[in-house]
Amino acid sequence: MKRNCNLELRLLTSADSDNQHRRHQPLAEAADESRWSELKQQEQKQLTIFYNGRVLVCDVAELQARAILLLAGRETEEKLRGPVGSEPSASSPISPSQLYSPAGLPMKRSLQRFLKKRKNRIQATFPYKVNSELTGRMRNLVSREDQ
Amino acid sequence: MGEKFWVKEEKGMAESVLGVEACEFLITSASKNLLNDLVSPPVNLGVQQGLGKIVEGSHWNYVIFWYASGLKSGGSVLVWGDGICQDPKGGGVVHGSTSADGELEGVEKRKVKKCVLRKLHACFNGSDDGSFAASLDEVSDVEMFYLTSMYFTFRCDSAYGPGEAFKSGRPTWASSMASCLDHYHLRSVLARSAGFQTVVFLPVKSGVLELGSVKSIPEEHDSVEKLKRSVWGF
Repeated sequence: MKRNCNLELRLLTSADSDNQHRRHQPLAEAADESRWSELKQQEQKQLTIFYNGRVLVCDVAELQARAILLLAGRETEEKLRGPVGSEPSASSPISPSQLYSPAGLPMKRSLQRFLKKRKNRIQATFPYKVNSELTGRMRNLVSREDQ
Repeated sequence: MGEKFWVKEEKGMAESVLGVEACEFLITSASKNLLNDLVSPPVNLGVQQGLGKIVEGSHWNYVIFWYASGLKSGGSVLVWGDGICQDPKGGGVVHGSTSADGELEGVEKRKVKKCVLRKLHACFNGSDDGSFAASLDEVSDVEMFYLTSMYFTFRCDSAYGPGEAFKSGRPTWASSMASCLDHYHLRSVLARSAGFQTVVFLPVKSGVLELGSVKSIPEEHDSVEKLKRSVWGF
């Protein structure tokens, strides 16, 4: 489902270091509303966002897309750092999931590699898209030949 | 926090595949957030190529690199670093996969395995990502063992498995099924289903290498050295 997105961008505060400010200058411009509608006139491409179990599809200009990615990245970083000195407990609702904490990345990577390898194997054996009933019958034939 | 809560049916299913003790361990572990307590979390391990060299063309069905780290709360622990699974019976290619005792696996058991994997993923991941389990129809028992192992951790003061090898600094090489099951400890139910006859725990730089095979592979005088050379080139 396509929707026109009204995205709110946070303005950089004066507390940010010079370095950061320099890097983010284009985004500070983008935060300006008139510039934002200017951007909307530029070539728009479809952006699909997966967030918290929901999928959002919208059309954005490249600069808008970059802004979204950067902000999302910073928010994730902040979430991972977490509140300092807090006690980890089973009932804490804010604790980041283990799989997406930095220590959970190896698990995630291994998992992705495993799924990719499986997919390649299945595609190599059955390169044509067929309905599942037919695939089942073909698999039966393969296993019977093996016996 | 519904994902971390296990209803009776989910627990029953998990116990049938993992065994009661493994199930208890994983449920408790998921709520402990151990990975956030690591002094030095695993990053850029760079062992994937080396692991590939061990597995390719060999009889090993899997290799796992367990990564050792201190805990901020004290002690040290082994967590998942990287791994490769090589199972000719896996990959969803062979329909009606057989389990270790040669019995044809029912549709029910395949569904249960998929459900358990999905639940574990949701439990440790904090959200139920349905797409994860979508491709996991017909997971073989070897693959089930491998995928579930990712969620395990081992204290370095343990008397079993990877923890014991790390603590003693000495490799473990078991090449009979009975001896294997002993060393697999909490994962022995999964290991028995997979039919492993050989398991090796090899203490190495910054962790432990674990290898397993459904074949009986006897240790030779230079087996350990060959394995270490494959991964670290020395």
